[in-house]
Amino acid sequence: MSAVGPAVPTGWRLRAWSRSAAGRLMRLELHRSTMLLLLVPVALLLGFTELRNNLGQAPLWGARSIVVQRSMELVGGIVAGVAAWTAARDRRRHITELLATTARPAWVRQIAAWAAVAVWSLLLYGAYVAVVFVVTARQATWGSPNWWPAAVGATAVVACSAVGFAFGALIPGRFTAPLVTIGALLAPQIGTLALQRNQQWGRISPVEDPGTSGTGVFVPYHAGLSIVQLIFLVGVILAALGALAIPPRAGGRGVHRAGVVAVAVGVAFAATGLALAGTARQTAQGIVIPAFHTAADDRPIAYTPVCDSNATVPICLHPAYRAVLPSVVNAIDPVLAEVAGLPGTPTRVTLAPTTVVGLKGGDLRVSGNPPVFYLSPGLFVLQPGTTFASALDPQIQQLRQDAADAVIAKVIGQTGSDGTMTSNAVAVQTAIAAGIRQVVGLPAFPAADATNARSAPGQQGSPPSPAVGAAATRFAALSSSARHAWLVANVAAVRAGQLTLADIP
Amino acid sequence: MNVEIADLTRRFGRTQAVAGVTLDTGVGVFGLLGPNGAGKTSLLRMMGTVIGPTSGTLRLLGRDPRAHRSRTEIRRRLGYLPQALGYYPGFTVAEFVEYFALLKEMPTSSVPRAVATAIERVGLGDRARSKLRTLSGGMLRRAGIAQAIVNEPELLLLDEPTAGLDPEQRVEFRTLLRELGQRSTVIVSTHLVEDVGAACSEVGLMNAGRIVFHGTPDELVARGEGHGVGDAPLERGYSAVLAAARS
Repeated sequence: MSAVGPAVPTGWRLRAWSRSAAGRLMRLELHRSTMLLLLVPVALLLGFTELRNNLGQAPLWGARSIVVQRSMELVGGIVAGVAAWTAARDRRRHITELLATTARPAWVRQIAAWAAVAVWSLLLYGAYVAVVFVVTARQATWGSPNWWPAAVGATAVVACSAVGFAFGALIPGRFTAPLVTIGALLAPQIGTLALQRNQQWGRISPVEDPGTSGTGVFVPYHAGLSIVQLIFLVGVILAALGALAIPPRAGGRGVHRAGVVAVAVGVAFAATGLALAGTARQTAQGIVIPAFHTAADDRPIAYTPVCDSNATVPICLHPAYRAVLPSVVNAIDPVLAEVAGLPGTPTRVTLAPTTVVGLKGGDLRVSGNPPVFYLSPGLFVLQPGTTFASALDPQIQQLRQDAADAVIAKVIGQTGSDGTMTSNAVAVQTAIAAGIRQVVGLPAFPAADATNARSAPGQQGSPPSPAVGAAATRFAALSSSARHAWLVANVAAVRAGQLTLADIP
Repeated sequence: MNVEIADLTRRFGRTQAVAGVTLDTGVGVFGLLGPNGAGKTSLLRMMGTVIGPTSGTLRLLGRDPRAHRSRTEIRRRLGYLPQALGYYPGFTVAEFVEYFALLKEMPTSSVPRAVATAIERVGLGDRARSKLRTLSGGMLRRAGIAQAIVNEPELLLLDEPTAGLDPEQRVEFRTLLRELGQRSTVIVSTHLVEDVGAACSEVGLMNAGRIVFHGTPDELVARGEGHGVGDAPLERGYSAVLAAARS
């Protein structure tokens, strides 16, 4: 210890990172934030769970942008716990007495500590969004990023940090951080539970999104719900940070007053958000908030389909699905080739939004005159935990099976589902359907379980007789031209139930 | 006078920690002696604006700490080292001292030099980049002293500052105290009478919440001549005054 006046520092110097006190405080807080220590583990966790699931979705900007928003649930839970832990550190480190003798209001100190957690959390979430968007940019064939869900997700992460910090600061305790983590992980589910009870305000939950299958592809993204969620989340942030300024120890009268105002404004924002969310309406285009919606918002997105003109009939998809066109052609064209030119055969195949001809999420159907084979975008939604590349093959295999069921049923008729046909006629339709299925590489008689039953030929729920199997094998063994010629000549009789198994060559 | 105290009391429930202390002191080093539970730390905490008094008047640096604005002004010019120093283990010594410099609202432009100076003065220049968790007890104490003096305080309150320091460091610290006491009011609460003898210009002895002696170290020594118990003259004065107060 030196007694000789102010010593000249030797060997080291503080870096002049910022000229402002707030900037220097932030630098210190950023440097020693617990969130900084947890960045790598949380990033790994995020990579192995949310990122893997998200990149498993088809490379569509609409779908991936929306899933990015839902990923805030995991990040938010962890961030809330870390924030609560950070807020309680002064008490845990027995440093409150020393801090109480300093001039700067405690609220400023707390805001700096919270901001460091929020900044690191935002960086983590931002990096996650960046990875998803960069990968999608390399894979997607149409469209552009939708920033609304990412903005909601980022704001939700900040809100989690603010609420967690407020709990940690106002109710410091050994169990505060773990309880806050659990609470933050479960809180978004309150919205889901409310929706199950038809309470529309539940849509305020940041894990709820306004999209439907085809959002951002056929129909524009309606930002109304995102705006409402942002209003609510900003309110939560204001209220939580304002609450920190209310206790007398937070600072002087000015700080107290600012806290009260922030809480009041925050509560008003949050209440407004909840009230607006309560007006949400489910439409075919997605969730609509009337206050933020105009008729022009429902106008479909214009696009030029991409088609394969070398197929038996034109097979056209939305350009966003350009990457899967060859697989779709490969799945459907062999089936179409078998029945080409027959009455009821689709004249084209097209991917359509769910609103067209009453398609449902994962549906396909042949309808109209001339018949058109409609596919819905839901067919390309993958199961969580899979990746697009690995799941595409079974997806395409399923598409071929579903296409075969739909097209064959349309061409040779529904096998006796109304009970008006004789068992012999049903057997003929079943055998022909089974023969075609064999030819296109599908099982002749798929397992007749409840989930696969589609009232299609060859799927009657009871095993086929040996005679039907033999007829199917005979039919499949014919040359392509002979099989097609026989079908052209006899399809009307097959549909009318006028043939027997012996008539099948 | 930088510290003006009149009939100050402080209660914690049924316990009267400080029972009517009156004390005026200006620039110099004031040693606050007393047995455990005498009320030294409570008095220091009141002077540090950590807690308010139950009754009596307290003026620090010519201001009333009950008013928020005055309290803030006092805190800008205050240095405080608590008995049990809490710290953030992940901070380096430099970060820790800088953090408190910023919380004391020092002009930002002067912070880097002030931090460096404070750290050098407590002899931790070579450990400035070390995390606090890696320091020994004595080094931590010195880091605590560095944060207390970083703003060149007009009023410096040190509660057991030499606890954990080795004899050589203690000698250096006393020199530092004397130097600080030339410009500021330094109040040192301690059990170690030799610290008082070596560094303090004034001494107060507390017992049962009251100041039972206020004078110079020489006057305290004089009280012990022929009466007190102890190895050193100051110790004999200390024990003689305490014995008289208790009788």
